[in-house]
This record gives sequence, C-alpha cells and structure tokens, in this order.
Amino acid sequence: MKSYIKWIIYSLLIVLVGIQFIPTSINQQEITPYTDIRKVYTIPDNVLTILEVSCFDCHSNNTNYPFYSRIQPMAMLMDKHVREGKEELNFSEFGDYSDRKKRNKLFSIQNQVKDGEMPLSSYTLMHNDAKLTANEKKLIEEWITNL
Amino acid sequence: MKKVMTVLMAGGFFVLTSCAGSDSTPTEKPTETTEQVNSSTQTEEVTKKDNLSSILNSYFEMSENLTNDSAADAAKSSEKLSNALKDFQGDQLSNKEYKEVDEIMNSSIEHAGHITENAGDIHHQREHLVLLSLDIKDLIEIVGTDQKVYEAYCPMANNNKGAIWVTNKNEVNNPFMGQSMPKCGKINGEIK
Ligand code: HEC
Repeated sequence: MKSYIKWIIYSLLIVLVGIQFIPTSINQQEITPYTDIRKVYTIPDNVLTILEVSCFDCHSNNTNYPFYSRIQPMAMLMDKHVREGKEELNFSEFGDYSDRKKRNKLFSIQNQVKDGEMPLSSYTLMHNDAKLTANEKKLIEEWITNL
Repeated sequence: MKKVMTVLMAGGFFVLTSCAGSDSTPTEKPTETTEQVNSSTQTEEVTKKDNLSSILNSYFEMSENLTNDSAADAAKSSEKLSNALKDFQGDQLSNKEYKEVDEIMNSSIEHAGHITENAGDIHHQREHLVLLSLDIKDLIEIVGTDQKVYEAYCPMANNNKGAIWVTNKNEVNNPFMGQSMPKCGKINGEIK
C-alpha cells in the first residue's frame, strides 16, 4: 500500500481516539426540584410519558444517556443540544418562569409539536421511540389547551 | 481494507464538520456587541421621556414587512425592535408597574429575537408575532403613548384560534395572513 494512504489512516485513527478525551458535561440531577413542571401542573400520565421520553433529554436537568451518546463526536453533539435546548425551555425550572413566560413556552410547545419541529430530527434518527405519533401530538395539544 | 478506509474517512469527516459547527457560535458574538453600542448612542433622547415611539415604530415596520410577506425585512426590523426594547428605561413607573414591564421586556425581546433568527421561516415569525403583539398591547396600556394606536383582530390567524395585532392605522393590513388575505380581520378599537 502507498505510504501516504497509511499516514492518512493513522492520522484519522489518532484523531478519532484523541477526541474521546474531549470532556463533555453530564446533565443529571438526583432530586426533583419544586420548580419542576410536574410540580407546577397536574399532568395526565400519558402526556407525562410523552414529555419524558421525547423532550426531557434536551429540556430538563436530567438527560438519559444511551451508551453511544458518550462516544465522541456524538457526545459533543448531545452536549450542544442539551445546552441550547435548556436555554430555550427547561422543564426542571418551569416554576421559576413568570406567568408570561410560562404562557409563551406552552404556546411554543404546541406550535413546535404541531409543526413537527420537535423533537429535533437529528435526535429521532437515533431515538426512534421519541418520534411523536399523530395521536401523541393531539394529546399534548389538548393538555395545553385545557390548562 | 477499502471498507476500513471509508469508515475512517467518514468518521474523520464527521469530526471535522461537527467541530466547525461548534466554532461558529463564538464568531457571531462581535457583530452583536457593535450593534448594541450603536443603538444606545442613537436613542439617548427618546428614552428620557419613557416614550414608546422607537419601540412602536419598529414594531409597525416589522408588522408591515410581514403583511408584505417579506421575512428578510421583518428579520431586520425586529432587530431594531429588540434594540429599542433593550434601551427602554421605565424611570417613571411604580414598583408594581416596573415588575410587570420587566416581564414584558424579557418576553418581547425573546420573541423579537426569534423573528430575527428566522429570516427564512415566515410561518415561525408569525407564530412569535401572536404573543409579541400581546406584549406590545400590555406595554402600551401600562406606559401609555402619544400616538393613536388600535387593536386589530383576525379570527383565522394562529391556526384559526384567532390573534390580535397592534396598528397605528384605523384599517386592516393583516401581518398574519400577508398578501393572501391582507384585509382579513377587523379593528377592535383604540388601545389606551
Ligand atoms: C435532541 C434534543 C431535543 C429534543 C429531544 C427536544 N428538543 Fe426542543 N429544542 C432543542 C434545541 C437545541 C432547541 C433550540 C434551538 C431550536 O429551536 O432549534 C429547542 C427549542 C425548543 C423550543 C423553543 C422553540 C421556539 O422557537 O420557540 C420548544 C418549545 C421546544 N424545543 C419544545 C420541545 C418539545 C415539546 C420536545 C418534545 C416533544 C422537544 N422540544 C424535544 C432540542 C431538543
């Protein structure tokens, strides 16, 4: 084999191994704070399950990490999603939001779910169970309308 | 061997692109800060009187852009709106009013920011206009304005759930429906 091809392979290998040492933060919390959305509203069980499975990984202080999400470069991607997702909407801090902000976020959830923008498609690629069915979308819509 | 190589190449490419992605955020920062400096020097006199005129004028401009289906222009005028909102000082407000206005500011700056970021998605811009308009209406009711302003309503906006907007003309130019139905809706009355 030509030597430069060998070098390319070796360098790529080194990069792949090297990036495994890039630290990423772990988004997990033992307690359920009183500001958690589950303590702010009574949420029907079926709606709660949808939120937990499809949204909480990026929008709460508790991410469920499957094994591959700890491997780079997936870990960096997940880290970025969690950071940006929590900034927009954090279900663990929902009780701290002003009434106006709560209204904004609930409105936004309805629209994002209806338009199929959330959960992010780059995420449902790996988490098939997080994809929302038409019926699940309807359950979220109705829950928020009736709040 | 060929297989191993393609896998490694793909891996390497993924790494390079994902790094490039995370790099892009810090480089955006400088433009933001220079704009903020500009706007605070421009609007010095206006804020002294607790006047809402720069806020309202940029809101009206943005609303007109949306009526004309121009998402790119709406993104620009909503940036002006963000700056005007950030410059507002509620010196003459009572404590209670100030608290409410502070929440309105946080909320409306967030909506305006989304409208700026979604220059390519007029549907999403109009979603944020629904609640932004409620913020602007509440702001006028608390702070007051010298201008004549009206509340307009369209039952078809907001996925047929209905939505209001604020206008300085006593006629309907619908920012939610745009050029498909610019005259849909009615004027509810003056906001005071
Ligand atoms: C893979 C991570 C991820 C998952 C899972 C996820 N989100 Fe998001 N979400 C984000 C990120 C990142 C943003 C901010 C950037 C954007 O809007 O794309 C965001 C933004 C939002 C926003 C604010 C958008 C706006 O423009 O107003 C809402 C509301 C939202 N998500 C709701 C949800 C709901 C509801 C679910 C579950 C059905 C969900 N998200 C699942 C990552 C995620």
